Amino acid sequence: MDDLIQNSAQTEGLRPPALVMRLARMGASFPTRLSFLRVLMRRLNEEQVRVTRRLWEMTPDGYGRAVYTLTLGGHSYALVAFSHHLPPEDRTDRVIAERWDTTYALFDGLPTPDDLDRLAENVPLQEAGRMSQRELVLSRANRSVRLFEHVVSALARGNQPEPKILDQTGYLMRTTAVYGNGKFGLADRAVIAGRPGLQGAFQVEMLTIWLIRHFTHDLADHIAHARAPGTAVSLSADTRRRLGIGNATGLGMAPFLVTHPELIHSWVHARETALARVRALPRASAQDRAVFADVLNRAIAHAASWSVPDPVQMDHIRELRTDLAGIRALTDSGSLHAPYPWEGLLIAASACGLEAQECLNALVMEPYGALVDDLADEMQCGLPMRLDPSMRLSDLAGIIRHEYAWALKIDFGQPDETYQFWYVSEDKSEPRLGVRSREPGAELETRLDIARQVQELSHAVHRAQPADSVAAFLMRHPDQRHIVERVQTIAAHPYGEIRDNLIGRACLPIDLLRFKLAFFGATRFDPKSDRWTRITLCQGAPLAGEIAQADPDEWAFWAPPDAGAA
Amino acid sequence: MITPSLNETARRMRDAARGAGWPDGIATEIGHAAAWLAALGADGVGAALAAIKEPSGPVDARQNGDALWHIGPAPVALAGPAALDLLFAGEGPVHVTFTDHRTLFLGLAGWASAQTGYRIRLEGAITVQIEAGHLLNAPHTDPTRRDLVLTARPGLPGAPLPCGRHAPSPEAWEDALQLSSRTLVPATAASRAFGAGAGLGDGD
Repeated sequence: MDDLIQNSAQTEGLRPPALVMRLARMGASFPTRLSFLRVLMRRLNEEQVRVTRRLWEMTPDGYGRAVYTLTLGGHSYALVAFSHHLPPEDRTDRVIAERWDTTYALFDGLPTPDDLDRLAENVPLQEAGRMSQRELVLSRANRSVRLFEHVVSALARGNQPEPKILDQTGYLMRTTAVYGNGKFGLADRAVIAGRPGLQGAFQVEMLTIWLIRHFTHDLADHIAHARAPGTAVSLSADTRRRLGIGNATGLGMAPFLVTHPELIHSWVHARETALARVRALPRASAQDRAVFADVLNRAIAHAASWSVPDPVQMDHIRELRTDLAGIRALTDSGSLHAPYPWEGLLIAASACGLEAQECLNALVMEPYGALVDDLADEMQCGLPMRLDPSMRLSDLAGIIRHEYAWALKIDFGQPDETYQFWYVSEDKSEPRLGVRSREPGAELETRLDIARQVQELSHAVHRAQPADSVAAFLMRHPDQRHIVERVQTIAAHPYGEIRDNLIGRACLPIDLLRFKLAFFGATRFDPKSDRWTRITLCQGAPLAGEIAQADPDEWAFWAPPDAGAA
Repeated sequence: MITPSLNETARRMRDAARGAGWPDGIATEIGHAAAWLAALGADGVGAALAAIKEPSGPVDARQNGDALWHIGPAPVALAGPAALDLLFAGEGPVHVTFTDHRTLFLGLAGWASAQTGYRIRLEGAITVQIEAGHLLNAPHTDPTRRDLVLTARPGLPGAPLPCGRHAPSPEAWEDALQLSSRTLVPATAASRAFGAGAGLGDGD
């Protein structure tokens, strides 16, 4: 017992925001048990959800519409899917696209024929259409051209597609946007907040993604059978599981992380609390160790099968493979039999690269669903906090010193520290990044320059009377209202702030994208530049037809069955 | 006619305010106020637009030998948040005078009440009580007045806020769009090609 108490005192609890909320570490994020897709899979399984294909009106070439329905938490939902002919020259993953292979809406309830006709007029237009309060999500996806045709051709010939070719892409289609929360007339999130079955973050969006994956499988089957009715076969369950749904993501995700500090805090705080609970466990049972060993092996296979063209990310993946092998050697040597085994393992792994550290953080949670899964319900927030006008400026200055010491150290007189600026283009309101010294538009930049704003606030506060209230200060400085509110918010929600200069030359937006996408449950990050990535969702996840019976967690760190585990 | 969601209303009016030159924090308050009014079925867009178009000006607060703070005359976009700040700072009742438009203040107070859970009482140009974001009685407006007195006290936890919608006039919605578009950076070929970090086509 003494050894347990002694070690317990060494447990530091939650990792500090200054460690966790740095771009480089955020850019090494992995999905965990608390990732939103994982949460959804467990919920669908618990509720024994059954998906029904209510409508299938498709031409032999696969153009038309389909409706899938399910009941979750006592409410019915319907994915309404439209499939269109898309000329190759119009195919782009960018927001600037105006046509897509397929378009979707998640309908709240069961749509009537009139609803379907209304949706048929609007959903294919995406941003240019208008949704109603009956629609919760709007999305679209383009075919992965080479893989889609390979799969259809193989099925038409009576064969399953080549596994190696499947694994090069991992999905039949890529979504290029998944809109919710009132965009383009959709229902506001408040409409479904607190609705049974949708607690937590981004659950309707994840449900939509999972159903779209199912539709893409059915569409390939349909075209193959229409092309060769005499020889065609359907996708096997194994092949279907192997095919997730892709996503192409750009800069739009980054401002979200900055403008929703309370929400981001809730996500990270839940994850860090889960990790702390595991680290604090004094013993690992044989069952716990076995579960961990299994998922570690899967992670090793996952890393072995994860290859990308981007040389920087590929270097990280190689380092990850080496580090994971070292971690397995350590655990194979019996390290998990010691007291506080997870704390010990994570300390030992602190010498590894960031990818392995964050991967291991996700892995150690896997045996402990009963201990951590409840935290998923905390990954949401209510109305934004209102600023505290009674606070004295001396106290505000104290928060700045405590939470923003990192920001006060930045020398914004150096051109590299203001090298980039974020903006929204009038070109379909696409979020973009520019170089301040040579591109126009910096005067209209999106205010993600939090560190610079905090410095300006700090200077203004120091010129004022320390005993003055925030209310009095803001009456003279209404331009500081936004940053004062943010500083106060971060004092209560410290994981809500990214502790790096987002306009500096060293800032790589790809780190922000990966951080957010990992919380969604994305895998196989495939950066196409420092500000654009492709990812895979739902690969290996239970299929629509088996979710009621399947183990909803077994697909964590999924790897192709023939991927090397050594 | 478009019936925007509450989120669309808040964002459009926030960006319109930014486009018109109001500071970020003020613009955000204006957006939320417009959405709070729209949720009740009121013309939040119109109220916000009127406030956004007022000229800015300094705001000061003073006491005339009693416990009552006086603010204004000043534009509602600045005097409104300032009055609510004084109120929530515990500085006592606040008397605020607006230079012109004041309807938006109902939205500003409603949103503040929703955020804090406070019961806020307005008396004067607008007379109403709001608790935790919910109206406790129908607002009464006095068109002859541009001033009101604010008091507040902690309220009871409220039910979820209304999620109604209001269809603004097409002209007002378009007007707001034009203002908000001032925050967008004009498109160039170079920006289109390189700004997003992805190519223009995806044929694979």
